[in-house]
Amino acid sequence: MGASPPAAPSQGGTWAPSGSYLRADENLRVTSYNALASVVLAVRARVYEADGTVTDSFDSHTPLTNRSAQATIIRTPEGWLLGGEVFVSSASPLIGQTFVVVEIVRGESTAGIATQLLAAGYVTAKQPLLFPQVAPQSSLDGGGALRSITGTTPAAGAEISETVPTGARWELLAFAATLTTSAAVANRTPLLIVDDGANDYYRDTVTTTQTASLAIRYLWGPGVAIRSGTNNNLQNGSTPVGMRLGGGHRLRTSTTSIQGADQWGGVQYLVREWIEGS
Amino acid sequence: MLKCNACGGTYQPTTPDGLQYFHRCPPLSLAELTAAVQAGKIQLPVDPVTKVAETPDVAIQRRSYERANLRDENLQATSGAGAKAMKAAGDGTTTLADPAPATVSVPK
Repeated sequence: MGASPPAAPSQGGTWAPSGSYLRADENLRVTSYNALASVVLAVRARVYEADGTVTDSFDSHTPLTNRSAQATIIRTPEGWLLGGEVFVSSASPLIGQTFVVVEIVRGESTAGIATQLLAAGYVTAKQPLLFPQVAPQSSLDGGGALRSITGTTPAAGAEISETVPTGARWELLAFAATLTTSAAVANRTPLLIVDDGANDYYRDTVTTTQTASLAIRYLWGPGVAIRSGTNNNLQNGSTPVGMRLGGGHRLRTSTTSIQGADQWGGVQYLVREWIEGS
Repeated sequence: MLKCNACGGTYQPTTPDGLQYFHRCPPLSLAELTAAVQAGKIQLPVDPVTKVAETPDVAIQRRSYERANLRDENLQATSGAGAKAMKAAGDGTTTLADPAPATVSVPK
């Protein structure tokens, strides 16, 4: 003998298909913060309507690529939200690159008032975001996206300055650059400065000066043991372990006795990156 | 490849991993600050201890000297109106030919 079907659900009744009831004027809002090009997200949701039918929604959402917020309204019928998911349908973002927030909002405007958070977390090609979610994630959770970035090559006689983009948080893992000195006689000493955009909070200098007509590659990394002198045209320096930099913070050089024809180049650095969501 | 018309730096607007690169001009280097002082563009402050004007090598360790026309491509904010505008356009950019890639395949 099969089990009998449950009685019809009701808002104030003894049972409901889910804990999230969507009123007629309520919809879902999907907001993304994304850094990668060509990402498209698919949004699926299932709603149990009062007459017992289950309605599926199939929508898409295209994030911006500069880490700024992009919102889409997913129109839903009145009823109980059984669940849903957001998954990547184009491109392959990493953890740390595409952060998604799903909420119930009143009305059909993306600026509508949010009444309930359903889920928040990163999506990747292998990891959808399910909702409703028991414990929404922070955009700073997880290991971040590993990025190897080629920086700006400054003009001759100018210094390196790399800025954490708005809406990003970095952890510095390695920083490398080459200083090629001109024939002008001077003792140059490069310094790596980390600042908040105006005021520095960390400086590290190398141990040996660089004279004229040399090309030396400087390598900084967290907790690196500093070797004195120059070996095979390499010098190294150290930065704090686990140092995280907010949007607008800078990694830059300041070189004592730099000459007008000296040239910094080969700027390459490795960071972990998260969406700041500021 | 773009060249910043304010600082002369060159950069790729998109990094190899497909993300946008946001250029910001560096502060003046010692060589640039020295040239600016010699050209009379800026006067360095008097050192409160020595009572004489700071030299460029001292001044540059104490503060950042920024270009008046600096370019900062970073967004003003990640939501609202600021999400659509860069912090400072400066003097714009000039498009240059792309350099040779970091990895080159040699035919058999």
